[in-house]
Amino acid sequence: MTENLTRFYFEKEDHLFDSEDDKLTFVVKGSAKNSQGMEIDLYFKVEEGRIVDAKYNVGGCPVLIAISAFYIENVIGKKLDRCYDFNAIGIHESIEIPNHKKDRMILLENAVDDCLGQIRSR
Amino acid sequence: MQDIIKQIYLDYASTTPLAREVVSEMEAVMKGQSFGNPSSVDHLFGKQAHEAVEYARLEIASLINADADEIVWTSGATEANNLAILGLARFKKNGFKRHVISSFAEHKSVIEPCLQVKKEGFKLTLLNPNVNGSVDINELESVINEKTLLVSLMHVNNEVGSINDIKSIGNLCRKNNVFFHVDAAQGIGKLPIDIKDCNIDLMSLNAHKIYGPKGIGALFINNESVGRIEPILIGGGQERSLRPGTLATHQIAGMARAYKIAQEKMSSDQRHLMQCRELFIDTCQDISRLSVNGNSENVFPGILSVSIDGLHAESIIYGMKMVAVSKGSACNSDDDEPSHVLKAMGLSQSEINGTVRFSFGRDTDIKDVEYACSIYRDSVDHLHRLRGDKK
Repeated sequence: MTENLTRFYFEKEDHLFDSEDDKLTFVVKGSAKNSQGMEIDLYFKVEEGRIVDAKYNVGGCPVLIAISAFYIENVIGKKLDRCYDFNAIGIHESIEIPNHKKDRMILLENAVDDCLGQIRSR
Repeated sequence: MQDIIKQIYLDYASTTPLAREVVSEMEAVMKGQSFGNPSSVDHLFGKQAHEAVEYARLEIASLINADADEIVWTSGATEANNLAILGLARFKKNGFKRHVISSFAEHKSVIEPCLQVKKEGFKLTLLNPNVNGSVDINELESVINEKTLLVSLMHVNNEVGSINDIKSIGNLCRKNNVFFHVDAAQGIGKLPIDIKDCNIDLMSLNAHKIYGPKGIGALFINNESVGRIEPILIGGGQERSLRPGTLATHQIAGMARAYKIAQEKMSSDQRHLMQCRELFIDTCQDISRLSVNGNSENVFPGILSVSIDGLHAESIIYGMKMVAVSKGSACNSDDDEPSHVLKAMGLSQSEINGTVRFSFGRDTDIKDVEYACSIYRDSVDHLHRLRGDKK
């Protein structure tokens, strides 16, 4: 992600989960944390195997915030089986993550995995 | 370039811009006939450089009430700290006293040489700072023993601005016949310090934190109490062979000019910095989960460390794109390692993560502080919203 795109998604607040307004609509929640106190909560609204809406909360470094916002914006409309295909979503093409921050992608992936686990267990 | 001009600089604890008078002084030395080697006193060019260096030495010494021949030029405070600790320990390595005391609140350029002398056979005690970030004198007294050779502590902490009671510590060390080294990198030129009054044996100085040039500093070595230490560099006779290498006349002259200005402006600088600090705290005190680190009384007002539990400083700073500040200390800002100082002061990992250091300077405009407060608040609010935190 270029510096401009990182900042653009860092500053975006379009798909933030609001626990008061959204709690009944978004029943699938996946979370992930790391040892540095960074955390992501993802919320999917799923209809007929497709993510029709998605929201998130995130705390951490600018890269984590930016990739979370980018992911959420681009996962809406995707079929569930493509939701952690980051190539399909376009993160890898669009985002340039410094080497020492590659683990932020794993954190995002873990949150997506958690979401899918919730869906499968229902 | 335009972005740089718009930036508000609140990172004076990291480094300061050169004072206009310092630039003029250095330029005069570089353009004039003082370009000669200060050690080549057989000709005019060398003599003029030598005179400039010795005049500067006198200026530096006068600020701390030392004699000129007690000042040894170094490349900065980091080298001075290394020379003081390694040099004294190695010079005294065959003696009975083989115990060094320092603290976890010190700069790494003190802690690492202390760890090195430990490897070389000395016993090392590192004290934890109290919650204010300073060293408790009773705790220090309790660890001093007959084998203690050296106590090395900083004057002003670089991360939170807490001030150690140098005078009491100096008295305690002198009473116990222990050498006292002060890392004065953050305090010199900002707070008055008298090496005789405080019984200081060794003191590290720099220039770039008081509007002087980078790459120059000095070590004060008390002639009466210490006299001699072992050099850490060899291969030349400069600085009584304590610090070999051709002296950088223009940087030395710039450092002396910066010290002269600091002496003249110390009181007005202090008042201005206090005004900046108080304004920031008054304006931001209602920010949710904000805490000010360190003692509110015994603190250097130019450094303000604030934490927001749960947020990440890197993102707070990223969000404040027009304001230049640091997370933790500048030495740590390019790695993810948590600040060892804040950790030693008892802050939780989550509080350390959310710590930002604002540092004000002589040129800080009050309006810029107001603007920085507003930008800081906006950045913090944005991150709280991202996390879904309720106010």
